[in-house]
Amino acid sequence: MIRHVFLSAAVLAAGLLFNAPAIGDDPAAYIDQPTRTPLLSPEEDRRPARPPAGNPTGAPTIPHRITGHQLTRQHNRCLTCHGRDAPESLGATPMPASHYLDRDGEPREPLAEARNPCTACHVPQLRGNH
Amino acid sequence: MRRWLSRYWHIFRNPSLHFSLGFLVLGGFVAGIIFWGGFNTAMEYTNTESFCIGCHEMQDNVYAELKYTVHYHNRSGVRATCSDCHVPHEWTNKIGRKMEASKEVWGSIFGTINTPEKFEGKRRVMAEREWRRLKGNDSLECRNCHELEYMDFSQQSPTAQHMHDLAFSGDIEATCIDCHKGIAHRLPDMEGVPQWPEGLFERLFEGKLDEAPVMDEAVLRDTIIEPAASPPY
Amino acid sequence: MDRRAFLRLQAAALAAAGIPLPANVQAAALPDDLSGITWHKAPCRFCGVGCGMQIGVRNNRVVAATGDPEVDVNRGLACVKGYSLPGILYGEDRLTRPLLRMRDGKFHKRGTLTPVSWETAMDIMADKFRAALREHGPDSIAMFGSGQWTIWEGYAANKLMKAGFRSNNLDPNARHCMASAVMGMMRTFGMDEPPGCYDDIEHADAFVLWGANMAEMHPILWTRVSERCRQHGAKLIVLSTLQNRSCDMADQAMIFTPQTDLIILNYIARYLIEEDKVDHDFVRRHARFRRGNADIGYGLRPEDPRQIAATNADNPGGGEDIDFEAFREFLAPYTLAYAARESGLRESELETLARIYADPDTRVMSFWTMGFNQHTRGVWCNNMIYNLHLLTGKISTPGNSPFSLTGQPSACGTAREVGTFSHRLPADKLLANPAHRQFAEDVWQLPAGTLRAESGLSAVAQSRALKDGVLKVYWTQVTNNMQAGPNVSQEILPGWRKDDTFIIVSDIYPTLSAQAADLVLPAASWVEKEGAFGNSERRTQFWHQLVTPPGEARSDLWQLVALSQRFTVDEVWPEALLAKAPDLRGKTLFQVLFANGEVDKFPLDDDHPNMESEALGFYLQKGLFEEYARFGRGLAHDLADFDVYHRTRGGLRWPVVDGQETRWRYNGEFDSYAKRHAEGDEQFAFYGHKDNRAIIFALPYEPAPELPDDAYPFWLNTGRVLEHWHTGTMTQQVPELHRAVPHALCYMHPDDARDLALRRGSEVEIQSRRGKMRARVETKGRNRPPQGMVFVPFFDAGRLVNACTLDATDPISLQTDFKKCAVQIRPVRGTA
Repeated sequence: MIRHVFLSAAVLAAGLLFNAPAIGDDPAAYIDQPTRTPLLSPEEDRRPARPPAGNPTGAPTIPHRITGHQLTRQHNRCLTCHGRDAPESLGATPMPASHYLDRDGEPREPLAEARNPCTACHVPQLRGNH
Repeated sequence: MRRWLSRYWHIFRNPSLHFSLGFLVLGGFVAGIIFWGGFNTAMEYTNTESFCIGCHEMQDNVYAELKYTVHYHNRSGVRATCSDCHVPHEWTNKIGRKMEASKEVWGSIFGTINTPEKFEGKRRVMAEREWRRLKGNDSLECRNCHELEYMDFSQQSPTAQHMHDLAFSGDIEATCIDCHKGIAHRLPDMEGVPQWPEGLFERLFEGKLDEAPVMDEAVLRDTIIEPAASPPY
Repeated sequence: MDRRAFLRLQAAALAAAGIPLPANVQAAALPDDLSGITWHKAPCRFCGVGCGMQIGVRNNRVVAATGDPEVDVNRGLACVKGYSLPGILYGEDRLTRPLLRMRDGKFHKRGTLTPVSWETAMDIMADKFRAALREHGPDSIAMFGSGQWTIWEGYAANKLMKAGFRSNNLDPNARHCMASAVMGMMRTFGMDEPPGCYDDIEHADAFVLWGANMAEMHPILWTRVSERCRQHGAKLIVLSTLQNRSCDMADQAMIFTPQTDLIILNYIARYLIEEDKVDHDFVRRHARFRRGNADIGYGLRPEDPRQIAATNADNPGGGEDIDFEAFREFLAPYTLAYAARESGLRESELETLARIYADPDTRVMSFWTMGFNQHTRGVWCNNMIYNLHLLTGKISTPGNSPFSLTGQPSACGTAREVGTFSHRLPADKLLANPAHRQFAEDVWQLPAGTLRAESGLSAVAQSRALKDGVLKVYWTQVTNNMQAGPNVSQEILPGWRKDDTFIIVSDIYPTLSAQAADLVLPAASWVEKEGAFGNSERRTQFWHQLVTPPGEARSDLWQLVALSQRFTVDEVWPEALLAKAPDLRGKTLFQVLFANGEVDKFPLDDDHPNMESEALGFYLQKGLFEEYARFGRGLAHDLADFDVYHRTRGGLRWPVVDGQETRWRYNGEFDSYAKRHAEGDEQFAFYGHKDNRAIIFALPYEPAPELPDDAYPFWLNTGRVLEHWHTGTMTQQVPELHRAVPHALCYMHPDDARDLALRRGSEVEIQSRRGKMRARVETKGRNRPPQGMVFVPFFDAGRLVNACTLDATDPISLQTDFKKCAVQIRPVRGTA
């Protein structure tokens, strides 16, 4: 079932871009006339974290809401649950060993600083993370 | 000076010659109401948001930050103003808080935090003061609106469901602010600040959270229902 | 060669080809997912950072991608787009057959896009080119290329257009992207591309971002900046016209009024002089001063009143030499108080910023991208940031680096180095320079006078010329100008849909441009062909063809060669030119340009087959690259041998001299050319100019061409988002990226939203004097504009923000300012 949902989402994704605003034979009619924009909905995606595009070597997606989570110079909210100190019992995916090594391979705590901008590599899946 | 004082002391001590007792009692009562009402009105005024953000330190920093958070802007349009979280509703505590606030007037006059840099420099100190206060009063101001007793856990994230369940059952000694820091303003550098109630996990969790099935409407919906048809172009 | 033959050849070569997978990936991924995968190297398809990737291929399909730990750029990291690479080639609506707009079985401008054979497609294309050349001459055809072309594709297009068809109307979409950076460097240093490199990041004490949202647009470089700041205490200052994710990580975020960056830059220069922080010794030895022409217009149509009013619109790049004292006097008005008032910044912030440049012990790296480049005074901004680094001598040494970041994977490699701009030739050579033209004609074995001196039409000018009926045939490759170009409805669409124009679009998906074209050619992408990209730090990286393109899709290189085979020189060259080279008579353009004894001299590589070479019987890419490299070797643009790049993971940074790459140019300690040019025991030589000096420019503040007013009260700012690449045609195909950011939003200040009775999620119509679009309001997203500004990204084909943008350009670089125009915002209520 999950698999089926995933495939539908893929088709939907492609369709949203090109099929829905199909221009047809008269591009002018489309380009000059703005279409309605879908609602910003609070729809949630609770499928488990997975890498994008089915890439087995990719960084897993963020399957939960991060709206309002502080990710700034002062504070990285992600570490509260995914950091070394966060208990395993919380169920959050722990960061792999690579995230504690800096550019030169030296160990770093509580996190290799290059890994601080989490959303550079991990893409959130809940709408509303704009 | 001394003589002057003693003369008035004399007048003050002597019984009234010109006004009736009734007048004095009633007059005193009315004056009391006026004074008391005035005092309270004045104090209420200091509780309004427009008073709080009357100084640019609050307007440009904490209030500007608040606008991007759920306590200002959310699904149902219920919002918190400054005093909802920062001033106790119960009278004696409120007066106590107001006395403390005189320090803030001092700060405003002398510009302790009148630039973003100074504000940033004091952010940790100021945040700690609020965390301490809320820890001390068992997050009283949070609980004026959010009480465990009235929560629908199924609307919450799995982690939140577990945490609140534990707190509600009294299994752990935790108060809102233990976990919910930085919900209305940006956090300072959090080095050394515990993010969870102390000893929580060692004492209370044996297995992983996700082993216990939680009720989750979103999961149910996603596995049963097809994704919505194309959005309304 | 067909698909089957390629697969057969590749299967034979596979055993030798693969590179081992790094240990950390082996441990992390499930063995089942990785079985049967062979791994190859390739740079990422997306941005100008140029991360080295390891690409996993199974059954002729890209199934995995991860950062290459051996490549210094990213050391194993990849961003959300990089990890999504396996998804971008396999969208359901991938173009696999040529499509021609037809009615009743033949071409008709108002017809329907209908599948045709390649033979038919190339024939009608050749007919249209031929007719335009015969009836209207070479200036009636044009080509719009890309910083996403591979190096040899750009080179082949350059030859075909400028030498073959003798039309200089060839421009890359990089004109929209970093033309201002090019002209900035050409004016200051006399040579293009940055003095430093990414290694500066690990040496800097302070970073200043001037209009670059690196956190989203250069995410992997951002991880390096993050490490340097957080681990080594480097300071980070972000200047921007709105709060963004980069600001979130900054020690100080400075949100200034649009266009006042010019004032801030001059204020800092004034501060350096008045506080006596100038490195006078450095300036005396290595710099000179020049005042640039002011009041230079806005690159609008000549009849626009703002153009007519500009006194130097006809000579925007001119100027006069001045001395230090004159420069000092010029800066006198740019006081702290003036800068603070105009920019909206506090005096203390401005002083903090100035002190970073002033402190001799602080190594400063300045970054910029579209904030400077997409600016009607973009070249000036570029010149003025170099002023600061030159005045303080903070340049060309590790950690001291004014660094122009690029947006596209090969904006440097293909657009700049190959010289696909309408005024350039490879390796910084110019069409206007007779010696340069002669050099090119010699390398290309063409008669003198083949190349024409006049600059061709640039990006915006091409759109206008189509609309005005000057251009008749227009071919675009790897670019989507109908969505990414400025002022779409007024200045781009009308020309494309005129009855007597013929528009050819080569792409891999039915982009807006493809849907507005007359002929659509299905292209091969990235590892479906052999390629090479050049990133922001002069790093050239190669890859082999790893999989076959779907259906009948063919690479842009194949398309260019196929067109050249359909013309003889006799058809396209004047008699006077043919008379100079009688032996070329009767030959095809293919024979003259590509089978010329140089390009066709290398045998096929049996270990690494590619479809174009197999079809022709010679190693086309190697021949093109080696001929192209002759333009720069020995002239400070040295490229290594073709095979070296295929062998080297991560490639090399040019100039590559005696096998050694160059990290810091103009510094004798690192750059052999600087050593050679330097007089006496000088350490530095800015050898792009004959006197070895870089130029410090006196340039004023001038306002933007369109300011918010009562009727159009908001600034409109446009840009990108982390999850989507440019117009979203590839990244929208990846479900996870699409889901993360499905639509373009109108980012707005919450108080502005309140004043307009709008809420987060309300729909608005954004209207400029040129066009309108609709989007939903976002008041607490990643971008937080100040009051009076809205920001709308341009990736969303359903929400065309470029219907609103203004086609004003920097008059020197001819690059559009996509960051500033005036709009009004109206709520869309109900179901209208």
